[in-house]
Amino acid sequence: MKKSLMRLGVSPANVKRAAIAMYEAEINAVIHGGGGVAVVSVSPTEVKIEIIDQGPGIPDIDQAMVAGFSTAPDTAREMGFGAGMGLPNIKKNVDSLNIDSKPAVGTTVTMTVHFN
Amino acid sequence: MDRLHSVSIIPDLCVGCTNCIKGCPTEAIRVRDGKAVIDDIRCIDCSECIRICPYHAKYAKTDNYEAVFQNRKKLKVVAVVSPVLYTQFARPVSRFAVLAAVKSLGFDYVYEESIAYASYLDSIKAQILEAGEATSHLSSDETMDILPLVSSTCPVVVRLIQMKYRTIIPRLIQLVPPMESVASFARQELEADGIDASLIRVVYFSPCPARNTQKAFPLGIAKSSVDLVISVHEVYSRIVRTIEDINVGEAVGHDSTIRCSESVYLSCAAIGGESESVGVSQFLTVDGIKNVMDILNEIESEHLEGISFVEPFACFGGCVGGPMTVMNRFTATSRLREIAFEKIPESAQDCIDQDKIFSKKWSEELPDNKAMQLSDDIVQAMSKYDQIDQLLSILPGLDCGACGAPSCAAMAEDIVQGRADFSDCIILRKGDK
Ligand SMILES: Nc1ncnc2c1ncn2[C@@H]1O[C@H](COP(=O)(O)OP(=O)(O)OP(=O)(O)O)[C@@H](O)[C@H]1O
Ligand code: SF4
Ligand code: SF4
Ligand SMILES: [Mg+2]
Repeated sequence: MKKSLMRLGVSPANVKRAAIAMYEAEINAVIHGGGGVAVVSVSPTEVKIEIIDQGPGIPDIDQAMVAGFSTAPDTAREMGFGAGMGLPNIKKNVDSLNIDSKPAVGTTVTMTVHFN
Repeated sequence: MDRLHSVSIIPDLCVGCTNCIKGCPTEAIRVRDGKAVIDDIRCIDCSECIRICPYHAKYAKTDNYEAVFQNRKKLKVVAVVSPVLYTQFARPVSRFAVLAAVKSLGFDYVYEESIAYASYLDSIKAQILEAGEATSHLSSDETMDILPLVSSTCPVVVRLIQMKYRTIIPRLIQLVPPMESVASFARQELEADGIDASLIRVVYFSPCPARNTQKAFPLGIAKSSVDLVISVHEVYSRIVRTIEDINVGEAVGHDSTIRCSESVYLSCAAIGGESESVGVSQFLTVDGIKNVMDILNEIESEHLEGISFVEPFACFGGCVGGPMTVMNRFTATSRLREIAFEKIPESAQDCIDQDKIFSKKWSEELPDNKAMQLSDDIVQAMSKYDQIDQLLSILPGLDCGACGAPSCAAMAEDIVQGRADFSDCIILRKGDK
């Protein structure tokens, strides 16, 4: 995605924001959601990234957004994840963030970065 | 657009074998009508293609040696010497013998490039400490927004970042390169001695074509202080026969036209020298352009945790591995280590002069290099992107290189940009029949 945005002439700062957000959401889908798919759509003014998984869902989204909150298993912590900083970091980098989550159905994280 | 590179092709030697096109890190080479052609804006002078070409059809373009003393008249000709030059000679040829031999070629003044390093390394260290300070209260994720800082000593790396890794630009340690600091210092000194600016000619002895390009298209400064760039190889061949006859004591002793650094600064010509001299503990060194790209990817994705300084060099081994040298980099590195510990002879002590030269920050921003961009207009770029996608589903996906492009993806882009034609794909052409 990074390379594609660069080829479209998106500024480095915006590419960086989108890349960091996408990375964090993907990691979450893998660690907490049992894997997922990414859908990226670009318009002349923004990039929209959706990360969709069919995992356990997030019971309390407000709580998940709190910096430092994490339910990451020990195996993930051993790999350096689980600081509870992923979602806050996404929020910091994108212009809009929407988390749609249902227990036992899955989670869809939708993020947009405006090019302005 | 201006030609931004010094690596060049000798068409007569090129057989169109396509060996080079896949080795180029920026996909700058195409084979057209049976001959390799280098894209003026994409080439970053990494010299991979010089190393790859079995027919020696690529070379590093520099100035001609004849130009050095041409129309000399009242001109003062100054040599600025890369430490790589010393490493080309077998033991026991000392660096002072080399300097004396250079003078005897007819240069009026000889300045070691390494006299800039004391201040250069201090400034690098100051910037790392400053960034460390700024991140001391941050989490490790936030720290990776700022650290590591990246050395800008190798111009190939700077140009790679300028083209493909623009998010890394703020991490570059944006200091005037030593070659330029010394060249402008030499000019100042000579002018202070009453020599007219128009009568000074500064010649740099370089290990690589990238430094030649730096002269014509400087990075970070408005104008280069270097007039001519000659290869280390060329200088070596001109002094190798006479050098053993030189009596160092006589030749260098109290010569006020030679400016030298303490020996230890020479070590920066090999990978790791900079990091070790700066003295930060969490550094990472990386050499070879492909490896450099791997590490830049890591930095860009902010996966490089706990590192405060990265020292990247395009050439394996650092500048001792430069393409315009004669000695293999292993022997050269070994020699460099030895020379960097060499005790300076009593007679040469007066030549040590590194305290008056100060490292400066870049005065100019890095201009955008839009070579990777499909169009300036995002709507157009998007439509080209779609066309490339469509073409990719038609092209065979073999990346065979027979069309002259390094991959089917590059070929698709070339077609969309009007630089190539469908019929250049021999696989599709066969299918048509
Ligand atoms: N896709 C998801 N499915 C289920 N739970 C999730 C998902 N994404 C996040 N969560 C929950 O939200 C918590 C916080 O997520 P966040 O990304 O902020 O931290 P983390 O992933 O635990 O740690 P870090 O991202 O710092 O490595 C997670 O620990 C997890 O409980
Ligand atoms: S010097 Fe490097 S960038 Fe330039 S054409 Fe050769 S391989 Fe490509
Ligand atoms: S590593 Fe040194 S010699 Fe090689 S390209 Fe970079 S500056 Fe030139
Ligand atoms: Mg996370």
